[in-house]
Amino acid sequence: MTSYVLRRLLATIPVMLMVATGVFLLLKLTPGDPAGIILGPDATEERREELRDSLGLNDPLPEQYLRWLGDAARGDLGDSLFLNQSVTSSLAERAEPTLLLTFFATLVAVVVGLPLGIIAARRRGSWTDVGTMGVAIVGISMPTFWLGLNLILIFAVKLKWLPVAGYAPLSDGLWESLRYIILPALTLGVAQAALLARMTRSMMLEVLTSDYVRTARAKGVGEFRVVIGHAFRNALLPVINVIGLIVAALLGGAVVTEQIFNIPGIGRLLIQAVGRRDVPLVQGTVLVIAAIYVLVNLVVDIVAAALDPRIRRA
Amino acid sequence: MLIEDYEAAADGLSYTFKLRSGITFHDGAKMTSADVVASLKRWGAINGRGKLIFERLDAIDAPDASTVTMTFKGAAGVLPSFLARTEAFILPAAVAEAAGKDQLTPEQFIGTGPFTFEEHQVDRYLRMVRNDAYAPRDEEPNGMAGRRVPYLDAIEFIPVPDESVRANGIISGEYHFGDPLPPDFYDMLSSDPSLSALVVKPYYWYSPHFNKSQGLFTNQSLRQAVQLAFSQSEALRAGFGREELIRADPSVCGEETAWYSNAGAEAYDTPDPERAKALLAEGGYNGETIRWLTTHEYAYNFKIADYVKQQLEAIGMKVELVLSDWASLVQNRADPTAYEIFLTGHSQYSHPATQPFNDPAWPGFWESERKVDVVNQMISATDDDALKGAIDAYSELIWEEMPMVKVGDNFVLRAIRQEVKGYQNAPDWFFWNVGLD
Repeated sequence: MTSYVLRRLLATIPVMLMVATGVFLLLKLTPGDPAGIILGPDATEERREELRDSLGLNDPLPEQYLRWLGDAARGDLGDSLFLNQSVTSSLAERAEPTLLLTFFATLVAVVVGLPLGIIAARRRGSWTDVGTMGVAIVGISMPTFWLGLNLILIFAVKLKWLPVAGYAPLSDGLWESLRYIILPALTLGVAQAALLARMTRSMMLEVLTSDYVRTARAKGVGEFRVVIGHAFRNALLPVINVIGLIVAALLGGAVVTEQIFNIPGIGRLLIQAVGRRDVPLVQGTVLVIAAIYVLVNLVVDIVAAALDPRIRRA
Repeated sequence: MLIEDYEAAADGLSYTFKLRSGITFHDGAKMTSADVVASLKRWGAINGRGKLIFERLDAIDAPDASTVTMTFKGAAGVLPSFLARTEAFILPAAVAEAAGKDQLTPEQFIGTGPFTFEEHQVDRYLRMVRNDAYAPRDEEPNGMAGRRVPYLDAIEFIPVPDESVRANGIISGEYHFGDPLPPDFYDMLSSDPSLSALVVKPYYWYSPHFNKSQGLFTNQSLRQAVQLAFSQSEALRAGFGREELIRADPSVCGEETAWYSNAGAEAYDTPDPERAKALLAEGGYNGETIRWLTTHEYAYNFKIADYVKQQLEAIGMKVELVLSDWASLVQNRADPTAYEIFLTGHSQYSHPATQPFNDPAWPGFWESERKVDVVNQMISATDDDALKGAIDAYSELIWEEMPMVKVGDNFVLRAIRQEVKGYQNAPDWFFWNVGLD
């Protein structure tokens, strides 16, 4: 097991290096002048040139690349051009809302998606199955911004149960923080729950028709134990993979949801940074998101290996 | 706000300002003339209006702790109206000197105003609290002038990126005031008894700017041809829709200001395709493609470009809309080889001498000796008649040389809840003399 984990860890290094290089090149190739945006439309060309010089934007590309990569390897992602703070500290500031949102959206997905998937599979072909899967299709197809705006309209504007938008950090108290996070977590969680329900259903269907389930039933095991104890445990592996992907995607920032609900998370940070051509911030954020993806995948693989001995021997 | 009285020499060459006594900074220190001199020097180095003043400044001095004098090489009648603006703010001398041309850091946000900076959490809020040591003037409030009383304990400025959420937040009572709000919400906001919808006049005007540095539109007849090829008011409607929020008008400054002028603007909104075609022929237009920089980031920008494009094609011009995001557009428009036309907006409540396009280095590149003259006249004018004459000459020049084609005015939509009392609907909002019910 240890050697498996080590092998997987080493393999992440070239992946991260490729991502870093890709991000750097992509941004250098994108048109748009950060100096022009910092100084505003009325700035003179002379002043812009001055600023480009002081930001190091006029140095040769390889020099800029090596300097950035060297700093990044030491954990220094540079300074944001707009926020008057370092990239690492602005990312740290945005971590809490994104983590909270990810946790609760995943919770919604798991609590709603898993049971629905299991029930649908168990009652295959029934109206329950057709109904749940129909709802799931709607859930997956619904655009997040539309769902988000409607939830705001119903729960915040009409019923006034929850605030329209915004964010309260955990230090303001759990309930205060929850009030703000419920609607965005629902918005994000619904689509993921639908995805998870469909995945769980198809995995369960595969397992429920297998021989050992028939054997279990034949020897008189209760239906609940058959479904949960025997079938679900074996359907769990691919489902954990999907949950891993959901978590990784959410941690990378839910741009639309954060924008609508005015949550100062990583997604909004990134989208603003792109609009302002805040190059160091975009590079740093994308790099961290890529690292999160790699890390979550690693964790999922390790969990899968722990659950299934066939994987760690491969 | 901070002066007791001032004296201006009749020739506009010297000014003496007597400071009010007993004014303290947010850190408790007393304000003196040394602070004013240091702050204005910083203003003269970094601000556009400040630079215009300091270009003609001879000396700025503090003969005693409560007096500041400014003497000029050329008349600067515009000085009082520039100094009245918030950007000519007064900092402690030590802060002004330490900051120099750099942006102020939060620790350096030390002013004299009715509210004090407390905290800025990026993307969450900026919080100002009441300055209990604030000493208001005695005169009755009049716009931004006169008595300013801070009633509110604190003001939080909250950025809300989605504009419909911003509007919903005011309707639900989450926020007290919102700016700007989507025009689509106009009916909903104005029919809600718990709040007032505010249309802010004057606000901004919009115009396609020609590249006058190289290419087709170095030719004045071709610029005039474009102006005559389309209806400006129709373009305005295409860009902004709602009638309540637009005004077809040719002036650089809104009619609510003292600087309004429509001199020489007879051609505004009188489309004449035949005359436009004749001007094209006269200017030697030969089917060259016009590159128009535009963006979907601001809906009006593309809508106006798209409308005018059709009108120009109807008189036989070839137009290509070059789409990009706003950041790239700002970069491209600085490059005289990259385009023929781009569109942007300008404030219609700023002094006309301070419009960015007066600067020949600003995109569009308007070089004109006559313009230098009239801008100088506007800055030096020491009485209302001289200023009015200079602004009329400026308006005439714009409609003759046609550096851009003004399509019209667009007003911003804001809303404020009923429980907020004493708010005045000014182009730049302020919250002193405002209380909560």
